[in-house]
Amino acid sequence: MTIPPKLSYAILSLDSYNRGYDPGIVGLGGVGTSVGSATIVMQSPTDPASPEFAASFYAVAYQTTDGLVISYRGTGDIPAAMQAGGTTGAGLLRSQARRAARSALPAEH
Amino acid sequence: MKRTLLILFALLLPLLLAGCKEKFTWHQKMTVTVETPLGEVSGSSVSAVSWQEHLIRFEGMGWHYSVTGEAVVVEVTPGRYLFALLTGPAANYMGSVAPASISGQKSRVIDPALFAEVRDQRGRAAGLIAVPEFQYPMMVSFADITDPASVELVDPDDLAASFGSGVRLKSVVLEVTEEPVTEGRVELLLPWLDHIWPNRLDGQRYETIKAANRFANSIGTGLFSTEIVK
Repeated sequence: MTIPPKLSYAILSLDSYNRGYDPGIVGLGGVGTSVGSATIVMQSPTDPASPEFAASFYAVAYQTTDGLVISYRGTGDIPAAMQAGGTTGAGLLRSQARRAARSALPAEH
Repeated sequence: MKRTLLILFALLLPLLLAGCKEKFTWHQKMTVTVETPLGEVSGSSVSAVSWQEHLIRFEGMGWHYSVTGEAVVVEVTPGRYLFALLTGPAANYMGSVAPASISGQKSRVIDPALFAEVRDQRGRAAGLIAVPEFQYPMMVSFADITDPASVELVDPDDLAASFGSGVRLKSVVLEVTEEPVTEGRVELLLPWLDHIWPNRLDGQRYETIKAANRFANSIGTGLFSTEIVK
């Protein structure tokens, strides 16, 4: 059964909360693992000394049959994220997260 | 007007959230002991752990977690070092390893009762805490300590493969302590950490499936110390 692209994107958008540092679900794996037919090909740094960790930001790129899909989260920790200048989860200042996603995951990987 | 209110709410939110839930913090000393043909050698480091539950959980694990510290370094043989990194088999490893060790759990542990037991050095967390094998930190060494890309994974069950015959990991133990967080030991041995941060050990900025040296690409400088470039 083929999953409609919109449903697939919704799954991948949730999946970013379960990858990288502070995952909601542990043990799902990182680069090289798959979610259905999508494969994780890149992720932003996850170690505690990284600027991304400090900003409570995490992005992951999936290679799908429809192309490269980037999923990101920015407010796992609201105070930290706001300190870093973003309120993505509240949907208020999305440009911050967009900029971060662009810088974190260049088109060529 | 609506926009102003939203921005005001966003600015006040951290203040509303701060201090609303109990915070669990402690310092823990990790000691790694290795048997060698010339006798036992060991190294230790002290890290600071902090856990605080979010007042409102949107997504993810719902806790704010932070760790400050550095890897444990053991000079196993003259000039050959073992590094026990700030990561392990479970997510949020440094914050989870003590509660997981006392409760015998293999995965990440987020449990206020266990956090309190560790923080207060009560019950199973009084004195030394033996870290079970399934909770050992990730261990690495370098073929050439001046070359970050030469990082190699060390099998805790087979240190002889990395350091020569007669070398065996004896124990990994934790102790909750009042000692200050150690810093600078790792950077003294690996001065290049400051130069390559925030890149990974293969020099690339991001972890990618296309990396030629996947292992070095999977290791960030922050797994050696959280204090690099601070």
